[in-house]
Amino acid sequence: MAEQSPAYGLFKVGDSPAGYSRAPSLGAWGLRLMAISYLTILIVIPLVVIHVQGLRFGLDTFWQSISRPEAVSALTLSLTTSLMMAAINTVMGTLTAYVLVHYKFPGKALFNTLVDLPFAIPTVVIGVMLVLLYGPQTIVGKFLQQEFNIRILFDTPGIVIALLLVGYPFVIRTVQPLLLQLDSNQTDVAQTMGASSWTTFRRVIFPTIRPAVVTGALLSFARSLGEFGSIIVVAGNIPMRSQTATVYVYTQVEAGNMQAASSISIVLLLIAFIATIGIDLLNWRRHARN
Amino acid sequence: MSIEVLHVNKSFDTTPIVRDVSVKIETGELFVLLGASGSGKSTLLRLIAGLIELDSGTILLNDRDVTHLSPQQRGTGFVFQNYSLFRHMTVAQNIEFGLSIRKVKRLEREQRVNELLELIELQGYGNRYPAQLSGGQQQRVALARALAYQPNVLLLDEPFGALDVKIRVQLRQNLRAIQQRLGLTAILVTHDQEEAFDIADRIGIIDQGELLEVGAPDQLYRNPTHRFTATFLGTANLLDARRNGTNVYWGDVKIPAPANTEQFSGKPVEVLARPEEVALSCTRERAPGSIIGQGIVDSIAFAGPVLRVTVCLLSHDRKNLQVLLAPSDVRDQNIEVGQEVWVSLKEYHLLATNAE
Repeated sequence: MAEQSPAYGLFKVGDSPAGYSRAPSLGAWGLRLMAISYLTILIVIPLVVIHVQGLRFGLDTFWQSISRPEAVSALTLSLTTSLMMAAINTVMGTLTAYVLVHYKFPGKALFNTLVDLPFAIPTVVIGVMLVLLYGPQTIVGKFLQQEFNIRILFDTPGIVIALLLVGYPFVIRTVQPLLLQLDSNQTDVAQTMGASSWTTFRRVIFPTIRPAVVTGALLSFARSLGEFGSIIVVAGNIPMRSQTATVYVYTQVEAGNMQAASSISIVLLLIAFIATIGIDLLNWRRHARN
Repeated sequence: MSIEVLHVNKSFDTTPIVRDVSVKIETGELFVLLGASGSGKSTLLRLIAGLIELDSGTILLNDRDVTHLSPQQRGTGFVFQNYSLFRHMTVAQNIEFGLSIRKVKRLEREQRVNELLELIELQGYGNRYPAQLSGGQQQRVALARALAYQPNVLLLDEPFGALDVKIRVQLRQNLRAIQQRLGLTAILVTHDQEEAFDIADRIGIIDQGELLEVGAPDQLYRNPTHRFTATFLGTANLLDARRNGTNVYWGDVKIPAPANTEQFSGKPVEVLARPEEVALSCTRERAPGSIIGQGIVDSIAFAGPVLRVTVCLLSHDRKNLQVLLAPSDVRDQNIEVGQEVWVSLKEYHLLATNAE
């Protein structure tokens, strides 16, 4: 009966014959170490450095740097334009995702491909496209200026339009999969119970996709806050008027003022961090419920 | 609250799914639409609910023409196989959904929810979420949700399909009890003939979009008009024959024609005998009913309270017949595999051969 003792094959798996709960091998530790080192080198160390730089002369200097009128104006402009973008793209993105999932129309496949384009287009190119369309010498630019006295370029509208383009895919792409998963019988059953299309959307569909809508909104907001390329082309760099936080940081770096650049960067980082935590929290809550 | 479907047609693209279906379901009746998957039974149910628009025909609910009304205006209660509860709402919120749409006052809503929770025996579950309930419990909530606003008719699309056999049997009896207590008019769609036999007042057999025949469960089982019905409902032994005068005959076999089958006179027919209507005997003298010849026992299988015997006829192209026998019969007649036996029909029915 000696032959019936467990045969371990090629690998020695310690004292667990089934091999299910064996002690991690050297290889597995090596992989973990590599992943952690990579994260540390790429993200943690630069984060630490920027905080050290920004806070090097103490909190007072940090506070002075971020409370300068140009800095406040730049941060406010970034926040307001990003919020406007997030609000508009949340509504339009949800609507677009709904249309893409529920309706057939000619050119739908092309439409679906175009949605992702802003992910791929260099943002500077987005800026150039907008300048060519809305510039003061163009037909559209002239028309808006003369008829409505609206200036798109070098002003808030230009920034918002650029951000709308940059942030376009986010809500659509987060909401679409959840809409596809949505059991169409739920909407059917709501209708047999007398719910109108709008009520069905409000009370059945939206609550199901809400986490994805918020995630998309937060992602696009965080992305917009950091947008640089298209804004510098569309809005230029007019302090107190069209200078966003990222452009302000760039100006400070150019001027060799690393402390001021770091201080504003820390504020931007903090906002991005809060948005990320918000997304994680939402995902965690959704998993907890199901 | 009757349901009347008149010459309804529906095609998807160019494929006909429902073909010229007409049927009237009486008030308080539980009507089961029985068919294989893809037979068009669910489509017919959705047409009645207004979830799909029909190509032609008329649908009347309680003598009111609803053919061109939206699902919201028809007032049907719908229950799906996958429950389709609103997962972000509690059980109570699910049940009162239809009431809140109708702007029923909160106090009244709460009262109705409690009544329904009692009806489905889930008192105290009002504040739970669907994810916290078992499949059977979720389906009961789906039923309560469909009943809350007192719909004209109840439409159930394979409501027990996703459940374990034991719970399925229990739930369908609950449904039957509730349906009878409330006097509901209901259509239930299923592919499960046992389920249909168990709860139906009448069954409609649907195949390839056509409603072949409608009748009480025993009538459809004993005396179907269509070959499809005969083979779809249980096991059918079918023998080609002709009816002439007062007899049915094939080869050198001649048996008396059943009563009320004069319309088949002079025509090719099929003799239908259910497995429990066939008898096997060790001698000619002991064979009950009409003897159709001799056969050899091919196999005997245990099937719980009865034995399932396959016998191969010596005449009639050595056709195999399925026979259900009580263990005592098998003992008394010395039936063993390979043994020669006399085959007789205790009862049989005729089908017109061209009634495909």
